[in-house]
Amino acid sequence: MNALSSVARDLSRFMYVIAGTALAGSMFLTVADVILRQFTVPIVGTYELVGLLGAVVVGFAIPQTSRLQGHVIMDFVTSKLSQSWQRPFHVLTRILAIGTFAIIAWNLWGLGNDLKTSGEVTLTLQLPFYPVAYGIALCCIVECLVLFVDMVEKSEEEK
Amino acid sequence: MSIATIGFLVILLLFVFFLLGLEIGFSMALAGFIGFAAIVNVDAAMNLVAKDIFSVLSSYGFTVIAMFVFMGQVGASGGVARSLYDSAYRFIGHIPGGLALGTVVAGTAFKAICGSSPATAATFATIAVPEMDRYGYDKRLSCGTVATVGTLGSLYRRA
Repeated sequence: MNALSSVARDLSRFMYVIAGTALAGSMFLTVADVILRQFTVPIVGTYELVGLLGAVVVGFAIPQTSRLQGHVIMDFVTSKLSQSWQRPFHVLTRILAIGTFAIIAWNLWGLGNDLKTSGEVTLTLQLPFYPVAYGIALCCIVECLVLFVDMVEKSEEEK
Repeated sequence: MSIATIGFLVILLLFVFFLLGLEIGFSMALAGFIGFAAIVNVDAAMNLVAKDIFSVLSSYGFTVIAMFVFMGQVGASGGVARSLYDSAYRFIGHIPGGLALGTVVAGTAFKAICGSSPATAATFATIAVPEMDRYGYDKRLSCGTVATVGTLGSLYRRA
């Protein structure tokens, strides 16, 4: 379990760095485009590049956000329950979340295959969409792993 | 079963997910998926979940939220927010709820300029909530104030 936990931690941290780099990149790109626009030499394709980087930012930040418990939850009911009652609720919600992300990952991978087969690209820069779809699908798989590790670790803590 | 009944049941299910302690975003995705699968079919819901997530994440309009959160974090970590709130406290600290009033005015002006309610809420959540916490404001008041300022800003017409 420790090995799985460290794999989940390292992977989510690595993805978090990618998300941060993409966020900083999209910021610099937007600023540079705004400045260069004043000199009538805008950066071509900023609009679509920032859109794709936005997907990378959100997708790749999901696992680490889960690890840091950064997602918004309503705990005013479950926090009032005793520890023995909180445990099954926690397991149930983790299973539901793992199921949701497994469905999303599976279908995003399929969407990536479709986008690759059809050769769909962005309008200006002709960048393919499929690597982003595959990337977000991988993030969802890592998110499943993070949620599973969280579920097992919480159960072991309470024993 | 009519569509209205399914819709009502799915909203009920959504609230059950919220109360169980499932993350708000995951709950909405799962309830939406179940609702669409019940109304059309599971295959259609599977296709929709991938296409919807990919199009929303790679949408240019939504990248502003991540950028505004980043801006808020830079302001909060760089000490700008702290200085602003210290200064505001000297002017309006003697009024009960003065900082909350100040946050409402600042948030409304910010929304009128930036034009996005979620971006305003995200920015002020990172800037205003920790500062109001520092001055001993109740978490419910500070979070409630920040959650509503973005909507209030819509009263101003953008130029």
